[in-house]
Amino acid sequence: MDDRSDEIMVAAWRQGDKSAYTALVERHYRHIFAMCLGILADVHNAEDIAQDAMLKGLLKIAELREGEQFGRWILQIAKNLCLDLLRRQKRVKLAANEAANTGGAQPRQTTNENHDLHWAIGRLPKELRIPLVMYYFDNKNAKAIAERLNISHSGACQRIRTARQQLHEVLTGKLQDE
Amino acid sequence: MRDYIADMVTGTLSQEQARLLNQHLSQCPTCRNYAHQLKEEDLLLSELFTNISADMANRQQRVLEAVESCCLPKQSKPLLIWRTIMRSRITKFAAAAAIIVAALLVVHFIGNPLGSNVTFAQVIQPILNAQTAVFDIIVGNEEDGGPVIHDMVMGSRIRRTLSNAPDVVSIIDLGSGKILVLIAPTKEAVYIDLKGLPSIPNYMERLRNVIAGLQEHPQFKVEKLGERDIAGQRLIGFRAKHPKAEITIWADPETALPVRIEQNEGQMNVICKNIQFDLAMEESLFSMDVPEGYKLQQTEIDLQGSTEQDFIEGLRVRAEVLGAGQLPDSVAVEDYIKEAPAIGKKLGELGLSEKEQADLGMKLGRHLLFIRFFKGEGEWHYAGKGVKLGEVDKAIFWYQPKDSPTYRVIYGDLSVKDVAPNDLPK
Repeated sequence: MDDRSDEIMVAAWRQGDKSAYTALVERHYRHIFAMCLGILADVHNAEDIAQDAMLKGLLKIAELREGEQFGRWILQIAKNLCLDLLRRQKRVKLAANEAANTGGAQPRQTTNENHDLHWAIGRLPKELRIPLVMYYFDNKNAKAIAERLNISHSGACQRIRTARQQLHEVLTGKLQDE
Repeated sequence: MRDYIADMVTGTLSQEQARLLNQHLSQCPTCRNYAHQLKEEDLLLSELFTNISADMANRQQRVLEAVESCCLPKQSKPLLIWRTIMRSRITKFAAAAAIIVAALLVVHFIGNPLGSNVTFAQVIQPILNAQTAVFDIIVGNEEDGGPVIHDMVMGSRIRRTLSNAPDVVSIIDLGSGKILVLIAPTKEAVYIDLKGLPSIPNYMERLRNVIAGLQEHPQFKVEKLGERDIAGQRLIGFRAKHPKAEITIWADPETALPVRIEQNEGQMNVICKNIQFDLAMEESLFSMDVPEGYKLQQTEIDLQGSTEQDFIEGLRVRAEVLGAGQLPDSVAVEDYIKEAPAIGKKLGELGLSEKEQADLGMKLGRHLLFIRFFKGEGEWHYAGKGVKLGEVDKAIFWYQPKDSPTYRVIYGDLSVKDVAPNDLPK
């Protein structure tokens, strides 16, 4: 792993060092993926968007003024791409619901998936799911998550705690479906 | 108490708090049970994310490969951006559209009037006698700095490169109506079948026939422009005029060889310069065979089938996808050719699926073809600059279809109305 700082690597890339962006990807990809997974709750979508974010970062890196902010900047790009995807999915879902509504009664939702961990994580609100997923991806390091999400350490701990409590409630069926 | 238990499981409890909590747990079966469940879930979560992480190296490798393919800074090698663009299918289509439009510029060149005048005849003589030709074409104005199209012509085939994409070569076969696009850096080849193009077995012969036919055209005048210095060269000029077109030919006064032809056709300016005739060229340069090691793709484009609806769909794509809701400043083909790399770059950033890319590329191609093969009477007018998509009261484009007493007017919301000539926007 390249031990140069983000700032130096961004500057090196601007000077034509092809390997510098590769090193930035190696350093940040895992965190980007974790956040995308936290927002999207879907591994394949997270993979696609994390890749898109890295490529978009490459195309836009000339616009980044402070190289040391690369980590937060690329996370923000990924977050925006995730939110775009969610908006598109919402539109598709709405259209599908409209079609279903005109086609008759909707099938009742089954409840036998309540104990599926994946499903339960997906039931958490984004604000809790993101730090929770990042926490388990980042060797349970709440301090690093606080820095990446630009929140206080105690704030990160609180969100992780609440996420765990709500997850437990979802898994034990105490949280009602909306 | 449950907060402390959750903090203990997530490892964020201080030692002292943990000691007190353990004391409580030893006495409270409910809390003990809760702590036990959270710990079990913690193990499950760790296992789940370990499994997801297992493929992380492969994921990262795929990203690195994608990044590798477009990683050099654009400041140091601007052309690489174009190469990057050419890697995605959409831009192949966009480039193909530009290439086709450029191809048709040459075909249309031969449909314009030239004159009968003794000196003028001398000037056009090399065109009549030539077996091969090499020239550069600029669409629009020279000073705008748009791309230069470099053509080599032999028989029915044109070997074409664009100055802003030197690694992309197009072999255009006017006889079969096919284009072979070769992209050297990625070793990709695209066969484009042009539908609706008349078969032209021999380009130079066709040019000879057209000129011979035009010499007797009744409406046609040739004006002498005298000698002038153009790009450091003393040249003699002739302007051939026709109600719908104008061609200016500049020739070397010593040799009478034409070196520069300026053409105004409809709303498009085309400059053909650095013309050389009968240069010896290898036939292999014009081969339509796919070179060894190239990956081949095929597609087709209908040059004549573009409709008003296709034009409108292209406007929608240009506003919604490329313009953040703003309609394009211009719909002229020369402006599109100039902006093609930027448009391709923008499209490449959208993260679309292959199918979406291909659909958008075709829409843009058909949109361009409507303007290129404008079938209406007279001129078209575009007034979409500064207009946002959806502005219902702004007329952005109007034209008179052939044999129609009224005009078709397209508005900012892309609705269309038939409008009498007197009611047209001012």
